[in-house]
Amino acid sequence: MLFLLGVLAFGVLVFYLMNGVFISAAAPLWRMENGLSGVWAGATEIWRSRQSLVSENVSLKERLSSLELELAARPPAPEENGAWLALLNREAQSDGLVAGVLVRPPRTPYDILIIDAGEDDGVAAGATVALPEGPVLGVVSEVYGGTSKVKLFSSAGEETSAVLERSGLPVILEGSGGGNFRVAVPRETWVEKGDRILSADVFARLLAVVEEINVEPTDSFKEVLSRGPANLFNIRFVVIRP
Amino acid sequence: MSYRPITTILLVVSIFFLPYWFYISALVVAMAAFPLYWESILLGLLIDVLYGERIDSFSAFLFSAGFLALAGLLILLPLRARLRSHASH
Repeated sequence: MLFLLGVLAFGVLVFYLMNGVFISAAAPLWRMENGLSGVWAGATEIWRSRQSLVSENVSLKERLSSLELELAARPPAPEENGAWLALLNREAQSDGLVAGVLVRPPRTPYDILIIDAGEDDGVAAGATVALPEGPVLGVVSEVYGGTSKVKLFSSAGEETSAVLERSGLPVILEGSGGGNFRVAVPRETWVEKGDRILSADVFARLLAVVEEINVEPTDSFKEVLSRGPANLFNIRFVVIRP
Repeated sequence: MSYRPITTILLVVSIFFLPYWFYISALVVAMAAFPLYWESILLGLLIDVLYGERIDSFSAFLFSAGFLALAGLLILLPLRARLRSHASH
């Protein structure tokens, strides 16, 4: 028992002190793996004519999904929203630093992404991370030299202020892990499947889409289960905004 | 030939490159298969350091992979001893 506790104490001391070293050492391996997997997919395609059609079908579906996501992420009234932003002296953010995703679920058991941009690229902790199409994913939690960790809003127990688009009701989005959220709203609140849940800031970015609504006859609240707009297992690039 | 160091190396590689459901399952199997597999604590801490967020409270530490590996070992120790004594009879 004492031996095991000693191992734990030693491990905590060594591993947490050398936190960035492990990730910095692994980053080149992950980059190489991402590159090799793309080369391998391209090299073997010539031998599989039917398989190449299947691959093309998959990539076209991904492109379609991306376009649908971009459409869904647009603010409801762009002209009106732009006027509000101008009134508040806030310009709509369209730029940002693009970073590749090195590690994503299911490799990590938590809703954490490791991206290939860090302190050397001007990334700071607390920066917002979003998809190139617009929906917000999370914030930068830890920054290293050339890499960073992004904690997704869907991380278990993570609470995020949001707004139900249909009713404008402010809610607290609670992460359930795996890209899923849950939120409790009063029973009489009008919510339907497919409703969008937006961020509470002035930019009103898409956070989640309602998937399921659970309510018991005796409950005064209804449980709204929602899903993040992105497929976490396929994220390849993100945009970092300070 | 001892399979223990080879298993540990393979688990380290799988933590870096394979899905979590594989390396966590393999880790649990290794903890059950090898006597006093203390390397599992270090492997759990590696998982936390690579893929977890910074631990800023004691309650968060209790649910870290390293601490859970320690708890798993402490549960498995008497179980393995009982299975061994039962098999020897």
